Amino acid sequence: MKNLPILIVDDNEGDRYLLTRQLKDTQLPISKVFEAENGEDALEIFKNYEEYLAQNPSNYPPLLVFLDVNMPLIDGHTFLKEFNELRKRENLKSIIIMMFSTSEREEDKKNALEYDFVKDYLIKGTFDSDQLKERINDLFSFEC
Amino acid sequence: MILGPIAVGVFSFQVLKQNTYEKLLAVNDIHTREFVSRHIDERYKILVDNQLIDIKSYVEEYQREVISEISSNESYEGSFIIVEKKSGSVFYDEAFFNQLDASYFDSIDYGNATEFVVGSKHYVVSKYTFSPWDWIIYGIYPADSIEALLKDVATTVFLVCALAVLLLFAGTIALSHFFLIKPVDKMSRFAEKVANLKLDEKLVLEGPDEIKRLGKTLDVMKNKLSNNLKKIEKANEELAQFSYRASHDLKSPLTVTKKISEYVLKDIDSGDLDEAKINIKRMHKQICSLEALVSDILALAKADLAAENKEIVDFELIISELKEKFKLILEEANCELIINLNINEREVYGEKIRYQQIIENLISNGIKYRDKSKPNSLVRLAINYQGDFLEIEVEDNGVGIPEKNQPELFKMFKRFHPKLSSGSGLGASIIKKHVDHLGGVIVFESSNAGTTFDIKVPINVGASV
Repeated sequence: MKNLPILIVDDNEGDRYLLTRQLKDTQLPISKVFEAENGEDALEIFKNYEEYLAQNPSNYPPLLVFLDVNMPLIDGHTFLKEFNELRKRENLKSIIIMMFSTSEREEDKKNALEYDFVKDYLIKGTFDSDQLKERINDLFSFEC
Repeated sequence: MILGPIAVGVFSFQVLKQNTYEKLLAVNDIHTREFVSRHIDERYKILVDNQLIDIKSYVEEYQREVISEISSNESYEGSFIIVEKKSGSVFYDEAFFNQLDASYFDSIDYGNATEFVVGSKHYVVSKYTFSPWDWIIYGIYPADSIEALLKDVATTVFLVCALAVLLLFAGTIALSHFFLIKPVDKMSRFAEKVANLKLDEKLVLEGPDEIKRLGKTLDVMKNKLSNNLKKIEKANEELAQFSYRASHDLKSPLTVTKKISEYVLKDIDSGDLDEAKINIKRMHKQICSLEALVSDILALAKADLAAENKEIVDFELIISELKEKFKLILEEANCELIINLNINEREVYGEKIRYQQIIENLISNGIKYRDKSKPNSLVRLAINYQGDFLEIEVEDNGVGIPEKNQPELFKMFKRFHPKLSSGSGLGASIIKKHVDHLGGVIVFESSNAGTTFDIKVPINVGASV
């Protein structure tokens, strides 16, 4: 893999900034960072497939999604439920989701990891860029 | 249980025996008298009438006839004994006393005989003398036969009594089982379930009214317990949900700020002061939202406490404070606040802070969720009397609450317009809590033309005067 477009879904701008900066520090070939403030906006990014593809011909769809749990309107859990339906009809099968939350609640972890496309659960503030790189490398193989 | 019928049986036997024995004596006496008159006296009269009384052979012949008749009376259960005093001879029915030899009668003192006991047999006795022939006639009748009969009667009495007692006993058990043991058993099982907080079963007791009433009372008690338990469970669940979300939302800005501060140091070290400045602003924003959240959590906690003394609420003061507080915000938002206060006729007694927070939160929401696409943003506050209620009405021409989110409006940590405002999501919960504590109701109508909140609070609720 040469290019990895990603999507960060989080209602806190500070969190989105931090993750973006940490991802930059990993020096992984991240080609584009999409951002969404909540689950509803994130779903829109996948629902309007053609439109986004036209705008980002080489970087769409994002192959890795960092998803927060507690968000207004549509939270992480509801997003997962709806995305699970969405990927049945769209060409979204290869998308991997890493949870990215402050919540360490077992209930939240269990619920998220039940979906086979959810591959990891990161707790905010508990990892540095090296560890983040390792976690992503576990999921994708990049060509050097 | 068996002693009663036995006593009744023995008693009835004794009474019957005494009664019957006396009757038996009387009947035997009649028989004996009749025997004397019909068999002996009549023969004697014939002899006298025919002047044969002095002819010894006739007399002896007649006497033999009498004696032979003693033995021929087979249909009669009793018998007769004739004793000739002069000769000491005893005549009796040998068939009747067939197991005896003549010597038995030698031992009897006839003059005083009042009863006969032959072997194991008892006889009642009636004694007559026939002086012309110098005879003593004993009429005897077996007392044992009547005793056997009496025993049968007594046994029957005993059995009947025993059966009656048995039925009574069984009946008592059945009745007590139905009226007492069964309901008590049911109650104890019910109590055990209640103790284990299994409250889905309804208790209906059969039996006397008192028991039914007890059953109903217990069932009411269970229902009240169940309702309270549901309330506690719900409150507990809400509290758990609250503490989860509150700790999450409190931790989140702290984590972000801590991490960003590290980047600020790096940026300063690397000389990228512009990035550092932007990040300081980010930190400031996180801290502001944290401060707002803490204030709201405190307000929510205060809403549950009767923190202030009750007083006559000065709405004029509340409104002037409000105007001061929102002056800048209104100017920045280019939003107009129209106030209509019509409460001069009566005083409202209560906690000022509740009214203040209700009004401030509603107006703050009205400003925050204004519709920027509309030319004039406005928020209208009206406070009026409606009978015994104080009515607080806040109307805006803002974006409205999305219909699908309306049922969740008063839930904690719910935000429906995250892009318009980054509030804590607690504002509506705070309003609702205050309204609940004031014993009032809050309703709202909302569309994309705007939102109207209507609150009605009973006046002087909780007044101690």
